Amino acid sequence: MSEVLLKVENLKTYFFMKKTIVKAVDGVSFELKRGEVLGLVGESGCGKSATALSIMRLIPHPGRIVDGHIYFKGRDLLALSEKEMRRIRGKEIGMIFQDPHNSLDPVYTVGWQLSEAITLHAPKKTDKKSILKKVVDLLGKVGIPSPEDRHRDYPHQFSGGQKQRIMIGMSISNVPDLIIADEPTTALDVTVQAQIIDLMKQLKDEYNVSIILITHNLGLVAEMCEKVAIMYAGKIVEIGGVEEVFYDPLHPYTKLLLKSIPRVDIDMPRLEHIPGSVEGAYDIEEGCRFYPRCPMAMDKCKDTSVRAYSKGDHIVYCHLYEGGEG
Amino acid sequence: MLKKEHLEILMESKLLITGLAILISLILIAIFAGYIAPYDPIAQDFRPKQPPSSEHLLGTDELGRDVFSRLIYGSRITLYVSFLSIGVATLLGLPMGLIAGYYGGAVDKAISFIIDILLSFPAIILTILITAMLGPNLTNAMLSISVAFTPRIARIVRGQVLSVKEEDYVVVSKAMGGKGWYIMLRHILPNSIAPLLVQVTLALGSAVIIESSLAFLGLSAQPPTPSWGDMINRGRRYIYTAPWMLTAPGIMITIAVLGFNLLGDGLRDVLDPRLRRV
Repeated sequence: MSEVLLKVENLKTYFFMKKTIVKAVDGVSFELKRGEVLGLVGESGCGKSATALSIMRLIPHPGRIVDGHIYFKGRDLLALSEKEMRRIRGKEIGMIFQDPHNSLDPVYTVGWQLSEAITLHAPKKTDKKSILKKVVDLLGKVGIPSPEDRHRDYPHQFSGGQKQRIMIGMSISNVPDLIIADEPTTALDVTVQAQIIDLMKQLKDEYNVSIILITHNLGLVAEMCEKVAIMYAGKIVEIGGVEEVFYDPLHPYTKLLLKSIPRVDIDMPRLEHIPGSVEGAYDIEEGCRFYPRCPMAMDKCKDTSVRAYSKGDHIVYCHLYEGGEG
Repeated sequence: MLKKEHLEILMESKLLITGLAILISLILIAIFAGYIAPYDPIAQDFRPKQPPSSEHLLGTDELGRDVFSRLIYGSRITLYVSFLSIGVATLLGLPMGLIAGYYGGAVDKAISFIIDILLSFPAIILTILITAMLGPNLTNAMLSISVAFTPRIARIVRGQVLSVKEEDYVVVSKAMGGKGWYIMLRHILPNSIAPLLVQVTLALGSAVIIESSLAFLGLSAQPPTPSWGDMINRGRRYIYTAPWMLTAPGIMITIAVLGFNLLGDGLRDVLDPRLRRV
């Protein structure tokens, strides 16, 4: 249980646009143990997906991983050849995407696509019958009714929730050690979301996989994760156990984020929001990127680079804790 | 593969059915020309420019050859040239567009540059240029049509690939461990094929016109091989005295092009679910 499966160190993924460089991921570090679920939370465009794609080494052009290490089972993924990386994708690291409606190729049956996921990593000449059996098993496991018949159906014949179930089936088809779920429920109905999360939990327990759950749904994190990392403008601002972070948030951004969720247990006249926008935050070189929007901002936040202050496993990147409880 | 419901969708498009009917009859005519044609298309009976009669359905030409028989045999050249040249153009243009669109970067720039140069000539001018340079015969005519249409097909494929390769399922396949070539052939190609099919069909129609134009100019199949373009060219001189000589092949060219265009439009309707009536 305590074995470290994934260790991301000072990961920097920059997008080289014509005139500017967008530092989508700028010095992200975290660790993930086997069987652990890490929630990666942040607003849209804060670099959550770019972090995920960096781990898969699938950063699209003009993005590039410029620095850092990603140790997966002790090996640095960034040092592997493309061929070695292909053997890891889909086999040791599975991925679930945001939009199940576009994640399946419309010209093939879902059975075909599941068998593709299997054959890509199976020894050549694996007989078709055993693959088909595996496909039907997988479909049954993720809760598609009558999989013996439905594996012959095309993606458009399934509902969104079912498609996401199929995608989950695809991601576990080779029994990976890590699943990266990039907003797996965002495109789904609320009622279906709960089912998908239940399915993921169940599979997690069954296969003892680690999961990185990317989301901006804090409720989902509370429900599923043991650890949570809060990202803002390409950097992790706070990381720690879910309970510590949610009950004792340290970073002003986390505090504001938690205040902006509607709650029924206390009387809130109006929902809080965080004034300002991320715009321009990526241009801040030294100093805290949240500084322009931070209610607790101090002078030195502007131009002094932020250090990590830790309280056990709970780490925060903020000047407020300098010399204090840190 | 083709199920009953697919056939029903196909049958629903009147354009497609009409186009298909025209083309199938033309193909049958070309195949069974020897049985349909009453006379040898190059045999002369020394009574030139006879008006249509029961003996010669569409009259005879200036050398006394049966126009109807020449018309029947002429369909062979037309179909042969259009299918073969556009087939070759597709075989060349498809991989060009696929590679340019998928790999992008310098490869794309190089291929697109060639495409742009070739596309800066109108198809007909380019084909005339090539056949005039290489010598007027059937092979060179086909070659020139292939050269003229390869960039057109490559460009359509490239555009299609550019949009398909951004689809999520392509990323999913990569995330499952698929490699470049595999993804290109298994996922991108099948999803790019529908608009290509339409364009290839329409290109076949254009090829008929171009082949006939080349034949009209004497740059395609050489006499005495019967071809529609050549028949029009011959009839041109006798348009007032023997109008049947050029009217008949003119109508045939129109019908053939119409057939391809209807089929193309029909395919477009059928393959695009948004245009399909439910």
